[in-house]
Amino acid sequence: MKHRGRLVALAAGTCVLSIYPAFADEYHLTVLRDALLFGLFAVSLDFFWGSTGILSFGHATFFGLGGYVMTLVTMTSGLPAPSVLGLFAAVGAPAALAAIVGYFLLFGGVRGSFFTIVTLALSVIAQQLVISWSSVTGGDTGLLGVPPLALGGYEISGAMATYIVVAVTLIVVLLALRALEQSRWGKILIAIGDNEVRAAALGHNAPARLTLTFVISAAVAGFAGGLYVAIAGVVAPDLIGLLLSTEVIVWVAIGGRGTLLGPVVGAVLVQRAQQEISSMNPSLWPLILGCTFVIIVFVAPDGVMSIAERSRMLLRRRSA
Amino acid sequence: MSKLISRRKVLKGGGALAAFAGIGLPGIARASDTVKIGLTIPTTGLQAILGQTLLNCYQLAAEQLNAKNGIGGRKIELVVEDNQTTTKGAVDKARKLLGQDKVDVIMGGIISLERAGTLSVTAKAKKLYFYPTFFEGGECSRYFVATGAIPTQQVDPVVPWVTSNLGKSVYILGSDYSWPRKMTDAITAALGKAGGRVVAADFYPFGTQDFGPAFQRVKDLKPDVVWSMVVGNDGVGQLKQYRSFDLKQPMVGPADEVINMAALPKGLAAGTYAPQSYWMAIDTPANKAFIKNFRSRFGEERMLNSIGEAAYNGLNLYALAVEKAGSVEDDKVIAALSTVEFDAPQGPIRIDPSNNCCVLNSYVGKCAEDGWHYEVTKSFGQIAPVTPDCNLRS
Repeated sequence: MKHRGRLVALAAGTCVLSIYPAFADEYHLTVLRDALLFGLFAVSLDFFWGSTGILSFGHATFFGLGGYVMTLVTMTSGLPAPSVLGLFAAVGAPAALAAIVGYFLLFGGVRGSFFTIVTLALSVIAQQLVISWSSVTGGDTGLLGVPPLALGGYEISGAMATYIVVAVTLIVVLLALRALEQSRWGKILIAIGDNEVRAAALGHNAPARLTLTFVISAAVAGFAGGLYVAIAGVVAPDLIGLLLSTEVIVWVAIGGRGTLLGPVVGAVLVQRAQQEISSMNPSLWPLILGCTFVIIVFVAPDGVMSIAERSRMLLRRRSA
Repeated sequence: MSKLISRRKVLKGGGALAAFAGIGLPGIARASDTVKIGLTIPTTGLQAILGQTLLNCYQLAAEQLNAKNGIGGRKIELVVEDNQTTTKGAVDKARKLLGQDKVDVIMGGIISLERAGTLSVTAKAKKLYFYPTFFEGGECSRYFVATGAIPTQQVDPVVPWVTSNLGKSVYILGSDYSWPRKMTDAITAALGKAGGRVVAADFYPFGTQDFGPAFQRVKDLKPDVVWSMVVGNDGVGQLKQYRSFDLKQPMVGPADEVINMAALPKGLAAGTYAPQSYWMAIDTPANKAFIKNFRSRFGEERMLNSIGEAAYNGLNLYALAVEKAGSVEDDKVIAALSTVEFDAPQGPIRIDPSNNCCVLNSYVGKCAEDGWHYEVTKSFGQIAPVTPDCNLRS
């Protein structure tokens, strides 16, 4: 029942995404497009956090690394198919970093809040690095004028074209990760999350499974980062730092952890709210937004996606 | 796109209906007949201290113009956005101001990354962007107007004065980002011409708290002057340590009265020098009126700086240019911009059409005993912004 509900939600979301361009002007289309890209990033965190129960507090490291790598590759002249190479690098570099970090932490038995704290440090280090290494990364300002996506000589740069690319990518990734979660792989991850010792006793190599999940999560985050910088045309330290690492956790928490679709809804809603509230009150908006988060956590601790389910249950209880 | 057109149609239809009914027409006509100015202000983040003064100066300029005749009879409407002192924030907000609010011009921004982010959007959209802060120069775009000083104004006239009044060897320390680094290049070149030299230059990342190594170097190298470009909270710690090392060398650095009042303890900055295009102590009727109006509107204790004044000037120059052009169309405004002159608080100023930078005044200020106020030690008069690499007229 629950799974069918999510599939219906995904189908409904796909419908909304395909109808939206007919109603929105170019600017609002680009705003939703960017929000969806950050939604894809939120999905990547949810895939790891939701299925293993281990929180990574440095996920922007992978998003930002993907962005910077994509920028450096596409800005190097003379490469054949720079966008494709760039996206491969944007997936590969964060995956490799996650493999190294994951190997030392997860095989070393680092779990729970210790894992969270170490990954938090990772994000801080990454941010300091891109700010200090200004000859390569553009320092504090970052790099502007990242070339747009190009495939076989065709440039994908218009609002509509990029929107379609992002929406289709998001849906494909969502379906793929969902299939992975529902497979035997996902079941084992849940078992590890419930009781790692018991899962290991049944013969599952828990650290390897966790590390691989972390690597997949980082790869998706890097992919989102690579797409984002090519489409927005800019890469800056705010895409790799602690603030974005925190924001993505908020998106997942607001949307509903472990639902995959929820984080997309969370990312879109929160960014929309941030834009609107900061325009209404440019100086007090962080306070207003923060209070709203606290209220949401109290009202819907499982995220906004759970509100529908909860109200359905409430109705059923009443009618019974 | 369809939404926009339909909204306009609705508005037009509504206007026609109102005209037909003979009610409320003036109100509607006025509402659609405003000049919309988008402001990108760092109201949160690293530059929030300066952001408030920047915003208030724009508000003062807009309110004063609106109290008279607006811009050629059209009221000014300010749309304020917080760029969070980040590149992404500046990009997003510039896109929002152009895409959603359809502003006629964007103004504001303090540090380099805000300028770069905003400019990346406005240059592509071919919309005017007025930047008020003194900076390292190097931007060359038809749609970019700078009302703050560039190194040929803030460094070139000041360096010969430094070598003949303070000393010939200079030690430079700064925060590690593009502005201090490019300023250091300009200072080094100017010192070479004036017969001075840079003994060493050190750059520290944001968040540095211990400047002991830098001041130890000052003790070892014994330069005549310390030129500091350490910004934000780091600058406060740096100045405290400079005092605790009991260095006798005079310090030069682009501080101002807003930063000092907001961040420094009483007396800490006393005796330091700063090159700026504006000081509150400048004795002109325009400046007296500017300070009086600003304080009666925003608070008697409030201070002003060159960034705020340049913002005020920018909006006024834009208003004069739009009035002269009779249009808010970017190309017509740009053509008119270099033909107008504004009697600014610092003295008369105008825009140089060869690079869209401002012909403005250059002063050295010396910080008074209280560590907050500055007196004008030296005035270099009006200085043209010279940029060999940029010629927008050709």
